[in-house]
Amino acid sequence: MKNQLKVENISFNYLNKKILLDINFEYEDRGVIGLLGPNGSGKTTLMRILVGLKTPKTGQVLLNNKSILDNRKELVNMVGYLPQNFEIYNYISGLDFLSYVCDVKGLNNKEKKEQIDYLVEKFNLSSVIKKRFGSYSGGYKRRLGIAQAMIGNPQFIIIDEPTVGLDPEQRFEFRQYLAGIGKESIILISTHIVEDISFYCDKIIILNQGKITFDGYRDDLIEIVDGKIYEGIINIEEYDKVKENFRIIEQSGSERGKVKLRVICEDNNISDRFTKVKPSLENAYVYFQAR
Amino acid sequence: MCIFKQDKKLYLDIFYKKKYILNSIIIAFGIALILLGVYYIKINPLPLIDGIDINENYANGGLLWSEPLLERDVPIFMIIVICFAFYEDYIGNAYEILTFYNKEKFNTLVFSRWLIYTVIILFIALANVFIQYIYSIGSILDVLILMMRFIPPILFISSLCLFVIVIFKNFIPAFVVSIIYVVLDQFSGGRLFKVFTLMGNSFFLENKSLFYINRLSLTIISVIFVYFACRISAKI
Repeated sequence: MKNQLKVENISFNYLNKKILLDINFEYEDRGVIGLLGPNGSGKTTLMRILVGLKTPKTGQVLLNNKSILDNRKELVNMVGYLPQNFEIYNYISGLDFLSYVCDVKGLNNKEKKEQIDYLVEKFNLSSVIKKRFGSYSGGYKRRLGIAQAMIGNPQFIIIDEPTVGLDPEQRFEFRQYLAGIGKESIILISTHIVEDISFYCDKIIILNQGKITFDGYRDDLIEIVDGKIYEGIINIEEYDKVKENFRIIEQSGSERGKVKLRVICEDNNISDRFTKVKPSLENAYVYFQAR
Repeated sequence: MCIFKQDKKLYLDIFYKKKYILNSIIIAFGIALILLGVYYIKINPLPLIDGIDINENYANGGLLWSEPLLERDVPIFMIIVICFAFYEDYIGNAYEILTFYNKEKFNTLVFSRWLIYTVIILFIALANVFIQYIYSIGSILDVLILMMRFIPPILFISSLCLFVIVIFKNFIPAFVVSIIYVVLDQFSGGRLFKVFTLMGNSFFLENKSLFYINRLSLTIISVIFVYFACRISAKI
């Protein structure tokens, strides 16, 4: 069955400050939507509105033509949520919490056992599932978080900043898990780290200062910047000069005394030491934000 | 790598600074308020009942012997219990996912937890009173009616504590506000809060109507506090 998500005219103010302004987007079928934006752009606020934790000033959210903000019971059954800082009580075990979520979602005992066994195996939680949550590492906490979001096979899964606070190895591992989930659902992942979504996102939405500045597919975003990204290796002494003339969007170490740069050049007026390259999603995002 | 390091450092800086500095300010403010209240009360003499100072009367067990226990000690114990029951919700971010799984517009999880702790403490406290009075008074009905006098102050403090925890998302302001209320009420002999005093049994000894208004007011406000606490905590 196709899922259809429509977010219509969502606005939110806080203490007379406009946090979100007229947010509209829609998505059909299964897949992953990446919500990109810098810190303070309103991503978490939007996530919390979509899961009914905050009341928008205006607007509605329709999932399969049902308004989920007006009916919390429907919302909890149809939506899975992993907040940015996922915490539960330190003294309860992961198993107890998954069991609690199953009860809230109205699963019977047989379904509960099947779901928990499946999720514990899928997210490699068997070694810790009976231990207290307080003893979990950051990586295990996140895995438990995504496991609880998937209980009941929700049609819409919302994940807020999935890799914040994880070390690089844990982040890589978590991205592998994210790539494998939600074959039957619409997944909305919000992040300011492009790497979190670059491998498996179909649709990209960019949020900046409470407004949507881009709503399209990843190839469309990359196309905007195609032909404008150049890569070259320069001496470290030349770095400041290059920085004066071009916007540097990526840099990495090269051989001693040299640095590899990617820069934006709109008019082809650049040294021969730089060659045109195919931009990555991160390059496209940085270019788009800098416009 | 750089982004991760910045994120974690920024997150820890903001989180810990906000929490510890804010809590310290609240505690310092609470202590200052108590000292101010005590000073005010000391320079204004307390009224007398039958020639006896209210606080001295209270210290001797009050007129009904159970007043210090049920109008001071049990409320203080209740504050500690409610703060302990809810502190872990807000010390991390557990309240967010728990609020998400609340299916009503009224946070039934918060309400049921508050109710369980309050009822248990009330039951134990009132059972103590029952045992004390049943031998001297004899009639179970009279003792039960007597026990009803002590429910409103305990209910009030419990609901006040819950309301402040939910508003501030932090147990420290709730602890400070509730303790200040009890302490200032005690030191002022009920004069500071008058119709909302917890010491109604002594303060309104000579005026039954005001006593009933006092008990009724505390009960009504308790219900209001709990209702709004559970409505507010249904969202974040």
